[in-house]
Amino acid sequence: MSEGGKESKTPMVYICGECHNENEIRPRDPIRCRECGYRIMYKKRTKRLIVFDAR
Amino acid sequence: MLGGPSFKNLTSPDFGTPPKEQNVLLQQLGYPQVASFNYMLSTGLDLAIKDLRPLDIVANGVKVKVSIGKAKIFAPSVSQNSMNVTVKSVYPNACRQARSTYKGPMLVSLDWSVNGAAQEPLEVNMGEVPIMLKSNRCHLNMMNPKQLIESGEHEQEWGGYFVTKGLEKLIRMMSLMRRNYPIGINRSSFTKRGPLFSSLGVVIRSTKLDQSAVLNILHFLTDGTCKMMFRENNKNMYHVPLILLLKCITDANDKYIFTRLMEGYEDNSYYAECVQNMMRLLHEEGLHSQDDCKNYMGQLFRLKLRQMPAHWTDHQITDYIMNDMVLVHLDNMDDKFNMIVFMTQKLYYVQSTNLVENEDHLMLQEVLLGGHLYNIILKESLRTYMVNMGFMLKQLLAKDSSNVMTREILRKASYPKGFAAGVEMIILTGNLSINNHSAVGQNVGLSVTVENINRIRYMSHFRAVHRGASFMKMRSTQVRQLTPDAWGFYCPVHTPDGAPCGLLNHLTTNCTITDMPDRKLVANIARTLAELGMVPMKQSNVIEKKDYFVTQLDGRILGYVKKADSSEFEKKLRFLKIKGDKVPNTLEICMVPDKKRAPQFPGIFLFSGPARMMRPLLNLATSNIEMVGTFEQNYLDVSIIPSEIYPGVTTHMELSKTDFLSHTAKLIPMPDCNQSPRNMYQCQMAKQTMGTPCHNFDLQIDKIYRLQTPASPIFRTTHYDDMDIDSFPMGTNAIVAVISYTGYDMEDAMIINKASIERGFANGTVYKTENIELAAECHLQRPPDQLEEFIDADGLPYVGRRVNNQEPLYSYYDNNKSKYVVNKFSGGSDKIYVHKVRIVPGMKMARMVRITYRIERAPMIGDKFASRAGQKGICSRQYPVEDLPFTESGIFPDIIFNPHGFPSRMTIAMMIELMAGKSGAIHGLVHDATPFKFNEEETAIDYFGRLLEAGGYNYYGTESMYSGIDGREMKAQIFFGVVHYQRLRHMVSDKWQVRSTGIEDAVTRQPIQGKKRGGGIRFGEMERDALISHGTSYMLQDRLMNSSDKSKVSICTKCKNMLSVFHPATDNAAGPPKLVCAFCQTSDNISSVELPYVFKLLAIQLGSCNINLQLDCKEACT
Amino acid sequence: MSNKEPGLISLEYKNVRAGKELDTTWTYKKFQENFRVVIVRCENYEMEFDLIGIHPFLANAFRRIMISDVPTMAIEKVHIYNNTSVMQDEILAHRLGLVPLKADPGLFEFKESETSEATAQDTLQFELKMKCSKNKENKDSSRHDDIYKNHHVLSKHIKWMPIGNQAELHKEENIRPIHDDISLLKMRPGHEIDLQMFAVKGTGRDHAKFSPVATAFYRLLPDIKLTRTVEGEQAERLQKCFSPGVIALRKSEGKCVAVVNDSRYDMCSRNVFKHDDLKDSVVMGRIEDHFIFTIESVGNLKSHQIFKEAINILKKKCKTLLDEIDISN
Repeated sequence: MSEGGKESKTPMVYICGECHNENEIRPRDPIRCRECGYRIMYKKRTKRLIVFDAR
Repeated sequence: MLGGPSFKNLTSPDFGTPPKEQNVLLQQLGYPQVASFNYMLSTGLDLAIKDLRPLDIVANGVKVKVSIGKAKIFAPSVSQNSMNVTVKSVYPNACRQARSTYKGPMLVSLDWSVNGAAQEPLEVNMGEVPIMLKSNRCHLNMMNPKQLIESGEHEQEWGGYFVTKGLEKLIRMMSLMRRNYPIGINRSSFTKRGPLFSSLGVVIRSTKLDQSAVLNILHFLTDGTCKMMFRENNKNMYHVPLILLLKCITDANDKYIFTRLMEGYEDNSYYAECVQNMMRLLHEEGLHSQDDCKNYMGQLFRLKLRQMPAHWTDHQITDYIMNDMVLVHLDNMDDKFNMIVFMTQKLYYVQSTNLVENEDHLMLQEVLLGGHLYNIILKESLRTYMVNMGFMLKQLLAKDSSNVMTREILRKASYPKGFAAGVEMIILTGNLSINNHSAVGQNVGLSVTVENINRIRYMSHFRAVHRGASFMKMRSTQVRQLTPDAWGFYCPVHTPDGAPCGLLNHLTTNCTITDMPDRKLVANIARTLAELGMVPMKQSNVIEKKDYFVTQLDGRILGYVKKADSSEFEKKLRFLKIKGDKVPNTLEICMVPDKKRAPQFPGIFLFSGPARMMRPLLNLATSNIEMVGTFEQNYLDVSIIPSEIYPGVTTHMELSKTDFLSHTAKLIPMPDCNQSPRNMYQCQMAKQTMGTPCHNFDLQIDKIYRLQTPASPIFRTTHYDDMDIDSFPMGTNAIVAVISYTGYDMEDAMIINKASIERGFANGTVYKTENIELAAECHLQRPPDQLEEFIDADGLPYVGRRVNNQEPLYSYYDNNKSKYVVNKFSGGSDKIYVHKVRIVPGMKMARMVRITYRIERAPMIGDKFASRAGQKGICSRQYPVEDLPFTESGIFPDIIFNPHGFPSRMTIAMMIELMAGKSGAIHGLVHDATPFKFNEEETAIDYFGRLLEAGGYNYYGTESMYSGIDGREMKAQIFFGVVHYQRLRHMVSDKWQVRSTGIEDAVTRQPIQGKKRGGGIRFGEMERDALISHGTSYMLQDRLMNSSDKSKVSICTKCKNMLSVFHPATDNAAGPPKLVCAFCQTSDNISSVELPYVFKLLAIQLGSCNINLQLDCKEACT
Repeated sequence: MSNKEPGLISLEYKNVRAGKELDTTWTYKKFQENFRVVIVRCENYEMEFDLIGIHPFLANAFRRIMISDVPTMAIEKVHIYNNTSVMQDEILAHRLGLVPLKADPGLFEFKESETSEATAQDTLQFELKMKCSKNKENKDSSRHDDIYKNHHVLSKHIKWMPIGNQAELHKEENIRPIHDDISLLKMRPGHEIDLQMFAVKGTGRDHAKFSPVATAFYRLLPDIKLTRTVEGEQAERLQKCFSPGVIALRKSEGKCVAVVNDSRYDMCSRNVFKHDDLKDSVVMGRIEDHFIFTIESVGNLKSHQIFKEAINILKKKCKTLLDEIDISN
């Protein structure tokens, strides 16, 4: 098996914790902001539908 | 202080914008810790290094000396080799989020010489050590509120703690024995120290300026002699006769020593005899001169003290002991001599008058501060480092045949293995390793995590002083007692009940811990005292000591003050202290008078050192504020209010009536109207309230309890505004009806209006974080074309998604096993959402994922609520609004409180609050709940009653109500109003536990314990007793056997053995083999019984000890 | 208005019975003779009226039904597509649920079950979509309104999205939040919300947001009588012990004399009993079968509609009960 099946080609977008820049990071890239080198990244909020009870 | 409370925080147009400067009162919370750490950085560390004994090694004829010349600690920064980093500094908030430590590099330069020739110093990087927040090495230092917010902190951040492994750790303030003051104590354990030892001793905790301390005890022996105890590195105890010790220190003759010891006690013949006897004993040993004594000591201790350079002479060893183990706070031998003389006099004084002091009194205590402990830790770690370097050097030199000491060898030997990690671990765990067991008296629990459950909890951590872990185990309650001298320093209200009661105390609001004073001022004190009329030590041989008070400063005898002039002397000195330009403001002036019934050994004791508790009082003579210490306060006459002043006697007055309370206690509304234990309960409950612990929820990783709809109380103390609690509100203003309405509100249960809850009353959210750190062979990824509903393309959950129990949470690909692994979420039945997903550098691996969840927690049956008067209760039902009673004006209560909660608990403050809240709500006012504002003539009830009357309500706060169930007007008038209620963090959803069947213990086969593992609740001995006393034996059998570890056991009835029965091996398939008894070799007598499995286990265990358990069996009656 | 003797007398701390127990036997004829309704005040969303000659159990039944059984429309489900504001999704959803909607519940039906498909007959759909941005024109100002655009989300921003033929059946001004200025959320530049809401018909028994009334309650008519002449300073004090307008002061023979003006609006604070010299001068009574109802509507329905609806519901309930009895017989 080669490298865990199919690597998903689409990079994910993360937000830098320091400069709030959006960074595209591929699955096994190092986690580091391209702008400022900060190493804490936040995942973006999903835009998928979430259903809430209004109560 | 600042007038009554008001809505100023809420109504200010600037509410929410950061202020220009931080709140001074809040900064005080972290100040003692920060100041002590800064002292360590500026002076303490240098002093500690100077104090370390240089390495002195002779190996293969090479003489090498190594000592630490300089040590420096730098601010935290990104490691040098990281590229493309625009922000080089590391900020604490990044450490919290990344679960790392806020630490800065420490550099040490080694001065070394080979065969006496000095070499160029070698610089060693010791690694990174934790840095205290807001200290001089912290980036937050000097930041204004706006900048603090930008770096992810709160605008009022006061520092004083460390961030280690993402946790906020505070070095616990601990009370220690007051430094450099000899205390005469009676401790029964002294008698066990050796033959003839009595329980009497004079103890001094001698503390150096680098804050390391050594305990010296002058023991009284029953034969009238005395011996001095000292220790090597706080380990082994040694006892040396007094005169031998004195002779090692001074080369004066016997006559001088005798006269000095007898000064002021010339007519005490018993004492004289004792001293003469001791001198005689020494001569009998053949030790006459100082030279004899030093040789004798050196010979003895050369064997005892390890790590002593072999080439040292006996004299050198003796001098080392005298310098480093005896009265280490003094570096002059004359001073040491004087102090030992004083201690001897005190010992015999205490022995004859029995005026022992009690070390549990606050006046004889000081506080251990973070920076000071840090200094000790660094010193001891460096000492260990030096010792290890010595070993390495010896080894390397021995290996090297060329016998040349090179820089390279030193570089190798000086590698600081585990130095910084060790320091970090101490801060993180609070455990000292055995090597650096210090004079702190305990080596566990030195640090605590600063829990941020709410603002009050967070604040109180910084004001808590612990008595020490060793006292927790003590049976006697004496150490827990609140002594009168703690007035104004320890809050009498704010101590937990239960195990730490009285041991964990909290400082009062105004109590400060002194910082290191200006050393120039301290150096000047002796001269100033001489100017005020003290006879200096050098000229003291001409005076009659009996008429003079001995005068000490920080455990050094400076001279003598004439007893007749002493009160004038004190007055003048106090005046200078208030002025503060000649002697420091924080000088503690303890004038112990020489009265007939003297409470302590008389004298004038001055203290200028750090770590003492002090509080401001008004000096009536000068109308200025004077800082007063714990010792000094006992000899002052302090009034609380002006009318209490006795002219000519009273010297000081309290600044306010509430000065004896802690921050937490000061927030209780009208504590003077409550039964006192209720105030203690409230102090505990205030710390468990759900509220607004922080403003930066997105940057937090701790477990957070957040109240979604907090409100500002209508009835509150001035302190509430002073501490800006409005910025971190907790609790809600509830409409309360005091009525016994249904069966659901008895025994501290309370009914909550269902409609109120649906409209958001006391709704809360819990934030929780889970960490995922994968092995190196794994990487996060979603299995292709699967689980897209739950997991994002990167294998992590979608941010914002609701996660249910047992739903897929994240997935990764395992390269070792070549397959995808999906992890499921386990989180009960709550409504849980993914709040934030962070990817941070891991501790072991390159990355770690931290998922923060948001758990919805609307109030439900079983949740705990409390008013601010120690009245807690459990929500027993959410009552539909139409069933609730309503008032004449159509108001429904939010909470129904049972009136039976009042008579026995006597929480009058809650009743006052109910009226005050109601009147405040009518008139749009905030009412002052500060204690001691009302009195018997002008009662609070009358004040608020009249306000209610003015608003058209009943004077007594009652209203007529209509039953919501049958619609008729009730006969009784109902006490009805507004009370600030707190929602406590104890919630059933975290606590409920149920089990039908499940995992069993592997050994006993009984159900396991613990909610997490799906265990049961123990049916314990007391429950068993209940069933026995009820005679419900079948129930008992059901609980203890059938539902527990019931098992079928086969017994051989003939040999009465249950272990001998076994299945013989059979080779044919002629049906199942029959059980056989190994002893009887038959299967005739085998029968099966039901027994608890533990019984069989017992039989097996007994069998393993060669004990045969036999069971008499009878045929069951059928 | 009422010339009956009070059945209850209020003492300082409790009520005591005066005279006969209220007649609990009920006959249609007696009821028809005695029962009267007097409407005192009827504004759109607030009304006050008297029910006279009715038993408290029945009056209470109306009150209870108005609170928890009269249906209205309210937002029940919130579909959030994006929310980058500081307010958590579920809190925002809860807030939206409490926004009172202007939609006649009579025109809609209850949803069959929670999971059933939304139809034009039982569901209203709304949308809220906003993005906050910086206002580049007013850089110097420090007022939030000047420097930010769309930073304050109000109930007026909620937009109705007709389902099916709803656009033909209902007018746009009839389907919307009642109040335009309910503050829902505050945002800062970069924050964005995008969500859809679904309103259904429900009752207050299920959730408080469906309750059509802010409060609906009644009280018994007070009856205050003076037993002796109170004059001078005492009269002024007496006046202050009651709600404004209850006691009037009349000049007679140069002295101020207290007389009962109108006891209807006394809040029964009973403060008069605090004064030792006054407490014997007053008898505070209650007319036991005279109920003063107050209905404050949230705004979905007009107050009188709510009461009418309550009557219908009670009727229905009675009918159901009778049917049940018939079946079991």
